[in-house]
Amino acid sequence: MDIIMMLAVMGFFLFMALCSESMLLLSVKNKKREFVVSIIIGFIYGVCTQFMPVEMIGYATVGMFLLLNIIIYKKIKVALLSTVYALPLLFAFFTLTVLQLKVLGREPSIYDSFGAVLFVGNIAILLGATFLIKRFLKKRIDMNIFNNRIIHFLMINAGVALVLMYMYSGADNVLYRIFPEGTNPAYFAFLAFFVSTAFTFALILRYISRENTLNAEAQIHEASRQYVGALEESYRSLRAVKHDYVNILTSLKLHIDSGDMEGLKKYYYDELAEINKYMLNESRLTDDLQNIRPSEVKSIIAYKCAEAAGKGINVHIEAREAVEAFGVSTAVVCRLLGILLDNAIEGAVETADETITNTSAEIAEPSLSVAVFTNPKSKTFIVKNTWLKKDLPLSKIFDLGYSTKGEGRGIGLHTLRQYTSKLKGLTLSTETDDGHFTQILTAEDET
Amino acid sequence: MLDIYICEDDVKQRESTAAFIRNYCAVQGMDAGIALASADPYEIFDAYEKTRNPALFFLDIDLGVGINGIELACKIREQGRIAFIVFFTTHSEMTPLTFRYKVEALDFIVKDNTDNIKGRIAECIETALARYVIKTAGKTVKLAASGKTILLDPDEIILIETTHIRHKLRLHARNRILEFNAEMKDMEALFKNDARFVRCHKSYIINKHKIEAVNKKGNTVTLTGGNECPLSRKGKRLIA
Repeated sequence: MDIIMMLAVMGFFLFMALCSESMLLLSVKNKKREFVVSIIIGFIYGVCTQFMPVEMIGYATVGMFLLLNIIIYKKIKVALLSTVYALPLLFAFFTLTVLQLKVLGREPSIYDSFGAVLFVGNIAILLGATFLIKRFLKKRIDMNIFNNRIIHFLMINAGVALVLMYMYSGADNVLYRIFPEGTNPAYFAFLAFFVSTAFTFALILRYISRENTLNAEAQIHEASRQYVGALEESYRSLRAVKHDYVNILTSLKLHIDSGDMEGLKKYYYDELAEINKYMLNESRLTDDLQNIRPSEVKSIIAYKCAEAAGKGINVHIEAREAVEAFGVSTAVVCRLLGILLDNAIEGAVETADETITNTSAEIAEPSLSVAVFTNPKSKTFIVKNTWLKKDLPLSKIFDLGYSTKGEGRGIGLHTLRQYTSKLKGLTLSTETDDGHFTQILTAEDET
Repeated sequence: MLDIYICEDDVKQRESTAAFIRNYCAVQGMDAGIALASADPYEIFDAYEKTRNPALFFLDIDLGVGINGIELACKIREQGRIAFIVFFTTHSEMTPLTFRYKVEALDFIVKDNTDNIKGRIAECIETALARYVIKTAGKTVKLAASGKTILLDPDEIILIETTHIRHKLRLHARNRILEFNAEMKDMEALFKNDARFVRCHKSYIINKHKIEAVNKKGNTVTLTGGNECPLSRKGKRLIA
């Protein structure tokens, strides 16, 4: 029974740690200061507990964490949340250590030297394990599934419940008293709690990840469908042009036979030049894309470009070099490209609206250009669109919820920055001038 | 002296371009001249490798043999010297973003519109000469970003900050944000002789001229473009 409980506690700890990590994606840049502050506060706390009545320790711990978090994060809301996350983690360590002591048949107290060493050892081992598991998972799944509202609510619930259970279960509020007495009803309550929470989280995570995969698959499927559609369309137009050619040649012959030089000139410049331009653009859209081998990436570009063209935006694609693979997963590339292209289309549509209402020649025609090319050790994507320059500080456009369109927008660019901030080998640069907005995404090749 | 190279496989076009440039530079009295006009990209590259002069290249995209114009441009860029590249391109070969961002081409000239080719060539020579003067006057800084060098005017730089990833820095300039791989101490060394740039915090280097407000109590400064960055104790002294 103790072993089951130990495993459950470890599972609980793991989920808690992974979730809290993903939630607290904070800009704690000064790691040294953070470290020194925690050590000092930890030391003061340790000294204080020696003089504290034993019932007070629980409350003092809460206070200590809150203080520490306020100092580190400087935001009350974040500090509260991270405290809610940190406490159950600490209690999980206590529980684990006490259980181990019990299994080893020693005095179940973490205040003697053996207990203390075990306690610290547990912290080190479990944190190390979390780190390793995180690295393992990062390569295989999208870590964003942990950053989910349902998960956070459950975590907070579980955390509060656990803290309350600890505070009110033991005879004198000291948690390790519960465990030696295997018949204590509280023992079974804890067992049930840990096992059920660990299971619940595992199930929910599985559900969310499956949901995400399905969504992503649906998107890729839709994109492929659109790509095939675009191919068919271009084939149809090619056939139409082939058919037209016969007519064009006949017309040319008529003009030549009748010696009508003026008519021939007019016909050439007015009619044929237009057709020529049309053909060039049309064939290029699909021609260039063939060079991009990963079909999901190809599809998403084709899909978004078709969408843009449908909105009256001039689309231009450059992909002259064969692109086989990227240093990051294709799923990530698709997600990022999707955001970049959506954002670009949004910007270009604004200029399209403007050209309709304001016919002055200064405003460029709405356009969207996409380029993919290779560098010696990386691949670059460029998305350039026309935009209306606003009074928009460039440094703010990546902030969550910041958009010129008001509430609820601007989430895309924030996600983008999160990806490029977390993944090694991805860099995103932004350039603007009066009429254009350019994003340059570079993915280093796998080494 | 600005060396001009022309790589074009069509003999007629190559000779007419070369003749025009020779004539133009002589008439305008420009400090520039044709170093080599050839159809062979390797010949062009070998000649360029042997000299130390800054150069301006007019490259055709489709060269018929071996490498194409863009690949030649890449090889030229690998040398890391001051070089300006202009592409001759047809309508169907035109990839402006690739020209500009892959090899930092100065410009491209579309061969299909025959009328203003000469005017465009003249423009390119003038721009290259003007930029060459700015570059040699030490008004730019060189950054190595993802294997490429980026030239920036220090006046435009607002701040450089660290990111969550080691060795990855983010630079905010007037109208661009650049992410690149480097370390703070390299950046500090780069701006060592420029009094405008101070490392006001472990994670930030800022341009003092871009400070809009100093909030000493909160230990932060607000810079142009709404960037706010913290000050360390040492940083506060440097700003004051």
